[in-house]
Amino acid sequence: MRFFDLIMEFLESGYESRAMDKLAHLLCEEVQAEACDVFQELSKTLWVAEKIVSMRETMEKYELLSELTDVFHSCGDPDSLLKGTLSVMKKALNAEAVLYLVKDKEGYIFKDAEGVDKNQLIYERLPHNHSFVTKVEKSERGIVLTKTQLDFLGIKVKSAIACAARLGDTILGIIIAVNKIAPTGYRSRYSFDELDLATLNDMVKRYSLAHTRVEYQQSLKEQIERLTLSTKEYERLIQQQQEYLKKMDLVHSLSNAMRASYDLVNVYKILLLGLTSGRGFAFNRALLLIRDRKTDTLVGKMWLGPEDGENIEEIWKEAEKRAMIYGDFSQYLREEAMMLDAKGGLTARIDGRMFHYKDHPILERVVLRRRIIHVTPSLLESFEPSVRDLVNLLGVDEFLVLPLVGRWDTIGVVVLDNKFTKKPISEVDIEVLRIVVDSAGLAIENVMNYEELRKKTDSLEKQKNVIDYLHRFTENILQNLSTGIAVIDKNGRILQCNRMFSNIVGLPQERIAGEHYFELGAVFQDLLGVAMTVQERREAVELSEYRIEGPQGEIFLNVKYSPLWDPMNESITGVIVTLEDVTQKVRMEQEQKEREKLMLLGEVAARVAHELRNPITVIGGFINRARRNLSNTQTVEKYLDVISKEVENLERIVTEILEFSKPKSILEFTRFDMNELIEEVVYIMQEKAKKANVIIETKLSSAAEVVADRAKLKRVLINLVQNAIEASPPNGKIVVRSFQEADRVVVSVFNMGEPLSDKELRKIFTPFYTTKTQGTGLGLPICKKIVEDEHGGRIWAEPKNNGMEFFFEIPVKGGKENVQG
Amino acid sequence: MSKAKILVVDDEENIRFLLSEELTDEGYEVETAMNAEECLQKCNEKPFDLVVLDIEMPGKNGIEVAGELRKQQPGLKIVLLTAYSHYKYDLSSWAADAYVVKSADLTELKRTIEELLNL
Repeated sequence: MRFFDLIMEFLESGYESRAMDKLAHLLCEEVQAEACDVFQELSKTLWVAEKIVSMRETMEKYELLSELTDVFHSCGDPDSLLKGTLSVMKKALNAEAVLYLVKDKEGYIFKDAEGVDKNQLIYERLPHNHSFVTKVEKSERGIVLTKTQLDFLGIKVKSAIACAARLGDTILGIIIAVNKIAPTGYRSRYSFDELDLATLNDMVKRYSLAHTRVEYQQSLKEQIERLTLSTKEYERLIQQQQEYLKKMDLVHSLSNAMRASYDLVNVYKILLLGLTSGRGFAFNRALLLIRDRKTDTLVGKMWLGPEDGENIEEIWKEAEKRAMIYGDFSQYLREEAMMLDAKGGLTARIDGRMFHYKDHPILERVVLRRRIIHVTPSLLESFEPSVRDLVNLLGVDEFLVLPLVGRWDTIGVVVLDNKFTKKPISEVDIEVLRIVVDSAGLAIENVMNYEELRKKTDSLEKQKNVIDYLHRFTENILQNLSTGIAVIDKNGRILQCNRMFSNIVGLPQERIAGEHYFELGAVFQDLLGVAMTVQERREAVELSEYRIEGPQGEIFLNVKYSPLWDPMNESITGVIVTLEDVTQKVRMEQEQKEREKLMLLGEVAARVAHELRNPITVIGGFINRARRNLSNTQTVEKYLDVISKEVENLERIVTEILEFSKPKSILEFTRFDMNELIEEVVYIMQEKAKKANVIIETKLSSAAEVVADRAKLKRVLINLVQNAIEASPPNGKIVVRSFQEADRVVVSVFNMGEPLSDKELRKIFTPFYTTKTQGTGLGLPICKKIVEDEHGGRIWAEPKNNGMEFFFEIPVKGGKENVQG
Repeated sequence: MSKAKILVVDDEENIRFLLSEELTDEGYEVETAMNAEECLQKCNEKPFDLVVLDIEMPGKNGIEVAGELRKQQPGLKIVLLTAYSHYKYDLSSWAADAYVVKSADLTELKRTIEELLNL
C-alpha cells in the first residue's frame, strides 16, 4: 500500500513532492511480480488521483468564485467592485498584476490596477487604433500574449492575457493580467495559457454583469434620490404657487373693488384696506401719497394702520371678524371703505404734507423710474441722512415704497411697513404688489379722470342751465313781445312764431309752427309771400301800415322782412317776419287828420268870410252912400263903378273857391313839349314882368315831352311866374328851368325875393294863406292840386341863398293820352 | 272947434275910399295910407287925433303898427278894424282903444270914433 501513500503524498504535496518519482521507482521494482495487478491498481489510482486533482481544482475554482461573489455582493459602488474584482483575479490567475482600462470616447484610459502602481504606466491613455486594443477588441475570448512587451507598461512582461469586458455588443473596458507567478517562486517558463484566459474570460464576464448591476443600482439610487428631491421641490413650489394664487386672488379682488368705486377717497381707502387687511396683504401700515406735478411733490392723502402698539391684537381681531363676514373679499373692501373714517388717526399726521421727490434717493427712483424699492436697514445706512423725512415719519428701518403707475406716468406712491409685527417683507409680496400697484394706479387714474370728467360735466350742466335760462328768457321775451314774429324757412314753412303772431293770424301757435304759410289763409298768403321775394333780393323789406282784413276785422300792420343769414356760409336760410299792429296808431292818425281837416275847414271858412267881407263891406257901404246921395248922379255913378268892381272881385273869389273845392275835374291828356309851354307862358308874362321891372330867363333841357293836361299845367306855370314877379324886388331876375330826372320832368321857377321862413314854407300850400295884398291865397293850393292830385307829381319850394325856388315835377307819362294833341 | 284929424289905413283901395267918404261926411279931416310904412310916415309928418287901422295887411299888420304908434304918440286914439268877427289873439294886449268889425253898416265905427274923440 505504499503506492497509495505515495499517491496521497503527491496529491497533498503536489508535483514538487517527488512522490510520482518514488512511485515510478517503486513500480519498477515490483513490475515483474505482479505487473498486471499493479497496472490495474495504478490505473485505478491514477483515475482517483485525476479525480482528486480535478476535485481540488473545482474546489479552488469554487472558492475563487465564492470570493468573487462576495466581492460582487459586498461592493455597492463601481470603484470598490473593480478593486475587489481585480484583487480576486490577480489571486485566481497568480498574476503579477491586473489592470483595467476603461473605454471612453477617445479610446481607453487607465482606471485601476492591482499589483502595479499608476506611476509605473508609461502612458495612461490608449487610442482606438492602438494595436493591442484592436487585437483585444477583435478577439471574442481575449488574447494570450507570451514573450511580448506592452508598450504602455513600465514593467517587464513575460506573458499576459487580456480580455474585453462586454455587455452585449458594448465594450466597457479591457482587463489585462500580466506575468503568471509560479506557486513557489517565479519561473520563467511559467506563463499564462488558454486555461488562464478562459478563467479570466469567465471572471470578466461576471464582472461585466456585476458592474452593470452596480451601475444600474447606483443610477437607480441616484434616480430615487433625485425623485425624492424633486418631490420636496414640487411640494415647495406648489405651496409657493398656492400662496401666489392666493395673493393674485387678492389682487383681483382689490382691483375689482377699486374699479367698482368712482369716488377717489373711497378708492384710496379700498387700496389701503386691501394692503393692510389680515385677509389681504396684511401689512401693518399703508401710506398713500399722490403726486402733484406742479410742485414736484408727493402730497399725503391717507395713512391706514394702528397709531401705536396698543391693543393691536384686539383691533386686528375685530377687523378680521368683520372681514370674515363677507364671502367676497372685494365686497368686504367696498363696504368697509364706506364705513371707514380715514381722516383721523395716522392720516392726520400726513394729510396735505408735501414730500419733494426730486433728488430724494428713494422717492425720485420710485416716482420717476417707477421702481419698487424695498428699504432695508443696510440700504438706509447708505441713504442717510437724505431720507430722514421718511424714516422719521415711519419710525421703521424696513419698508416698501411702491409707485402707483397710471397709463402714462407715476401718479402716486404707496409706502408699506410692518412696524408692529416686524415681519420681514418677502420677495413674493413684492412681485404681487407690483401688479397691485399697477392696477391700483390705473384705477386711481381712472377715478381721477372720471372726477375731472364729472366736474366738466357739472360745469357743462351749469352752462346748459344758463343757456336754458337764457333760452327761456329770450323765448319769454319773444313770446311776450307786442310785435308778432315768425321765422319762415326757404320753402315757406313757418319754423317758429310768437304769441302775438298767432293772435294776429288768429290761429294757435301749434297750428302755425311747421305749417306752410299757405295754410294761414288768403289774407296772409300775400303778406307772407313777400318773404319769398326777400329771399331772392337778399335784403330787408318794410311795408308800413299794410291793411289787412284779419279775423278780428280791419287791422294795419307795419311789416318787416329780414333775411335770416346762416353765419357759416352766408346764405339765406329763411326770413324773419315781424308784424307790428299799428291799427290804433293808424286810427288815431286818421282821427287826427279828420280833426285837422275840420280845423282847416274852419280856417278856410274864416278866410272865405274874410275874403268876402271886404267886398261886401265896400259894396254895402257904397250902396248906403248912393242911397243917401241919390240926387247926385255923378257921385252915385262913381259909387256904382266901385260896387261893380267889387262884385267882379267877389265873382273871382267864388270862382277860385269853386275851382279849388271842385272834385277831380276831367282832364285832357295830350302829348306836348314842356319847354314849349314854358316859352309860351314866359312870353305871356313878359309884359307884367316889365311893369315890375323884372327880367325872366329860361334854362331849358333838350327834351321834355310829357303826356299831361296842357291847360292845367299852363295855369300852374302862370301862377308860379306871377308869384315870382310879385315876390321879386325891382331889377330882380326870374329863372325858369326845366330838366329831366329819370322818368320825370322837373320845372323850377326862381325869384330873388326874400326866402320864406320854415313856418311860412309849411303854410304856403294851404288854401287862403297869402302874403300878398291881392289874391285869395288859393293860387298855390290850386297848383298843388293840379300837380299832385291830378298828375301824380310833386310840388315844393326851396329857400335859396338869394331867393326862393319853386319846383314841380310830373311823370313823363302822367296819364293816358285821351285827346288828340 | 277945428275938425278932428283921422288917418285911415287899409290895403284895400275901395275900403279906404269908402271910409274917407263916410268920415269926411261926419265932419272929420280924413287922410288915407295903404300900408304900415305909409301910415307911420304920415303920422310923423303931422299930428292925427285918431287912426283907423285894418289888421289884415301885407307886411306889418295893424296890431304891430298900433304898438309902434302907441309908443310914439301915447295920446293918439287907435281903432282897429277887422274882417273877423272874433279874433284869436288876446285883445287885452292890443295897444288900441277900440276894435270894430268891418261891416257895410258903418254906424258902429262912426259912434266909436265919436266917443273916443269926445273924451
